[in-house]
Amino acid sequence: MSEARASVLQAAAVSLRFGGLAAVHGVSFDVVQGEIFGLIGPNGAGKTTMMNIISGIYRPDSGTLLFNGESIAGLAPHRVAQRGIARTFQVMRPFEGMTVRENVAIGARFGRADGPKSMAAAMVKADQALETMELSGVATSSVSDLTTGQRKKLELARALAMDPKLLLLDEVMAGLNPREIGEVMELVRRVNGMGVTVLLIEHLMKAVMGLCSRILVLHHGASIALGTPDEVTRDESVIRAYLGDRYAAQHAQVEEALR
Amino acid sequence: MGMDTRPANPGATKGDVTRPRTGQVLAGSGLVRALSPSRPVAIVLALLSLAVLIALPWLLTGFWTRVLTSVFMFAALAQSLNIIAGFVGRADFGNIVYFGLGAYTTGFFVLAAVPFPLGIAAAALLAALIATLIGLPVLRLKGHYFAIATIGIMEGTRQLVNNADFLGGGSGMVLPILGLEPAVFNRIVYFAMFGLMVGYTAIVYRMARGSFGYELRAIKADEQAAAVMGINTTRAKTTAWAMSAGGSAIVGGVYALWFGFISPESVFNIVMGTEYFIMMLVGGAGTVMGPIVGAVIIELLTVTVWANFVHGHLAILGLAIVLVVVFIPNGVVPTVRRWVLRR
Amino acid sequence: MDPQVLINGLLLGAIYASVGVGFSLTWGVLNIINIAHGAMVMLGAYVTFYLFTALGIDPFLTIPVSMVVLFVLGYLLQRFIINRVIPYGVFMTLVLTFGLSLFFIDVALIAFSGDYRSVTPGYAGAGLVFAGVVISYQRLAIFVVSLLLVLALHAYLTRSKLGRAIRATALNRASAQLLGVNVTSIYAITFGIGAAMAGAAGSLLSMTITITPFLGNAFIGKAFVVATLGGLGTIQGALVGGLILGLAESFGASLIGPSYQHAIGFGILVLVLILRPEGIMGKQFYAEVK
Repeated sequence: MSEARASVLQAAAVSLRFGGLAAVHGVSFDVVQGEIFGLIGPNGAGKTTMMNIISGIYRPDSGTLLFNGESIAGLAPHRVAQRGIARTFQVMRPFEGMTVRENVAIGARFGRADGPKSMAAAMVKADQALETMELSGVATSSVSDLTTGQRKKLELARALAMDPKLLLLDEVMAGLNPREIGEVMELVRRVNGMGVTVLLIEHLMKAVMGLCSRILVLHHGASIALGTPDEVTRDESVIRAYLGDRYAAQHAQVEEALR
Repeated sequence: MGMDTRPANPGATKGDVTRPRTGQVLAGSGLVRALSPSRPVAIVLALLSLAVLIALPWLLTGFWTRVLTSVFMFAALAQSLNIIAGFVGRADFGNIVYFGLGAYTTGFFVLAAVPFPLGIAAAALLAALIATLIGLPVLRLKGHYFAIATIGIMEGTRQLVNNADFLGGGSGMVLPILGLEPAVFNRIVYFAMFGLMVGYTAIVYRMARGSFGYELRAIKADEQAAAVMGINTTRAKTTAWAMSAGGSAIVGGVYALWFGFISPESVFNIVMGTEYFIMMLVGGAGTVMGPIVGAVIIELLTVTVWANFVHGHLAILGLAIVLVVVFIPNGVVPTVRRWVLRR
Repeated sequence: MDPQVLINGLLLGAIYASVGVGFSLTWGVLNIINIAHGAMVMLGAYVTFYLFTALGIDPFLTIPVSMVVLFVLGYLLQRFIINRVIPYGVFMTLVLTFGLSLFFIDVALIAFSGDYRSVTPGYAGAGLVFAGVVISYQRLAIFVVSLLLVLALHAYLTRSKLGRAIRATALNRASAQLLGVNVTSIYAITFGIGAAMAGAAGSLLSMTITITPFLGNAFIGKAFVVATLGGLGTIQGALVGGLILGLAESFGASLIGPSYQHAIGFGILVLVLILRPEGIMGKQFYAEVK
């Protein structure tokens, strides 16, 4: 009998419209302390919008969003960050014109209100994050000199330097080769092992199945399935959403035949 | 090398943290060593140049003293602008509105028999306050839109002051003469402007290395990313603009006392405002020495050209601007730095 | 409401629209704020002045000439100078065009001298009067020609193949390139068209105001307002923006006093930027500027 762990993030009936389009509609889920929670769905399903809502870039039209019991709906992004939520971006956005260490130090310095109080102290903390991410070798390099894989790790290092309780990863595996994917998956596990709860958006099934303990599936802005990876991949509505009605019907026939 | 302990995690290469950057590797070459002197040598050179600059008013003619005073004034303005335009990256083309407000506020208080230091302090505070208030809606604008809004505000203010009779309206404001001998007066103004230039540069120097400087640079690089990393971008931008406004206003106040006469055309002057914007760009926006270098280059160029070509000095300035933008877009300081490191 | 004020506002508005439309086009398609636009208007006025005084050609007939001259100038400037600076970003093109503006104005000062000039064809004084409103024939003709030019530009951009290529490039440069559009050429042509419109506006203006090398400076501010108010890159927007500005200034001047005329324009500008930066008719083409 597993102990009931506290919910770190609770979303209830969150909705947001852009003009006539319901980007996110009545989405509810909760993320438990210490888990790696996946958010998947076809393109345009509303995953990044949901992540933007959580990190404060968008204010939801309705619904509640609680982080460790306190509402964060509509809170400004820097306040959300200081409550303990860090995020990476789908299209990598490092600070050009600064070195790798400086980039990470910004996260260390400003990510928490009770963090390092000077840039010098932040640099020390940045070096720790860089070491965890195996980027110590390029600490003094300019961001423009990095490979894609290194930039991804930089995004992770920056977020980690913020000492987050919840880490939001937006398609961190995109654009990586198989070896890099393996490395990043290992790094995500390492961060999780340090006590950080992770919510990740991912298209790469190998990563989703390999990392997540539970998955939420979005389609056209609404949640269509929530459960363990096994449960979700067998869910008919999920199959229909990803592969189309005809395939879903055929799949159901095959399943019926095998029963 | 053999003394390094093998790190527990084979992935981490701790030794690489000390791998020298290109610049350090080249430091062995004599040229670079000469151009980037060691700490004590740098300090001695700085003190020497300081001593020379301080002695100059007694050595130069009145004309050249005034030219240098202008250089210092423009350098101070460019440095003040640097905070919002260079570091935060917002094109504040209308920054001279604060210069004008500073000039008029100081003039107003001085005419009301308030001692001029208080007048100048009031000017700085008023400008900072105004920048904070209009910053709320205006700093949300990006790129071109921000630039145009600042120009619009500047021109609008010029029109309003032009119509304000209690400020002298279109005929301008005459400030009381301080009753000092011209040579002495010029020297005082020289040192005042010099002090402002040095002071602002020192402030920017400290700022660049500290947390606030990094906040601004992060905002310039990617405002949204900066926000999700915990930076209160609204507060940072507004503070930067208020600092810039106050800085420009103080220079305006000293200018008003120097010339003894100000008018809407002379202080809410889009050409002058653009001139120091260009100086900042030519020298290197977002660098510490850039505004000074830019002011020296442009002002000396203008004076030399004006002396030799009565007509066409603006054409030459225009041409210079075009050449700089096309060939050294980052400005002189970063280009020289990069050129030095590459050799 | 005084009908004279209304008519004056409309007449003024059409001129503002013709000045602003080229500026708005360049800004909307190339994301370049051409500060030298005012100088180009000025050059157009001087082309008309010299053709009128030296060869006696009617000012309206000089419009095609000034358009061609300015088109060539604009095309060459963009192709060989401005294009190199576009990758450096927003400020730099702004500063560059400012430098070009300084250069052209000063060269004009040397070449044409600062003397005040004017273009006054024989029919200048006559006008028609009805319902207590006075409209000079010349102003009326200017109004009509301004409208025709703006509408012709709109028709060209929407109907012709080149026009469609320009609009495609404005919407998405990368896609346009993939579809075979020669973007460099389009940029140069568009800038040339913007310059040509400036030249035409200058020719029209030469008949109503004094011609000096500094003529353009006042109109740059108007061009900003027209472009922002109407929405970048939209021709209809420039027309609407110009008319609104003209009417606002005319009514404002009669209600508050002529000395606040320019403040009105700037007030509108700042308000629009804060409340609805994409303008009345605009869509966010390049609104997301870095």
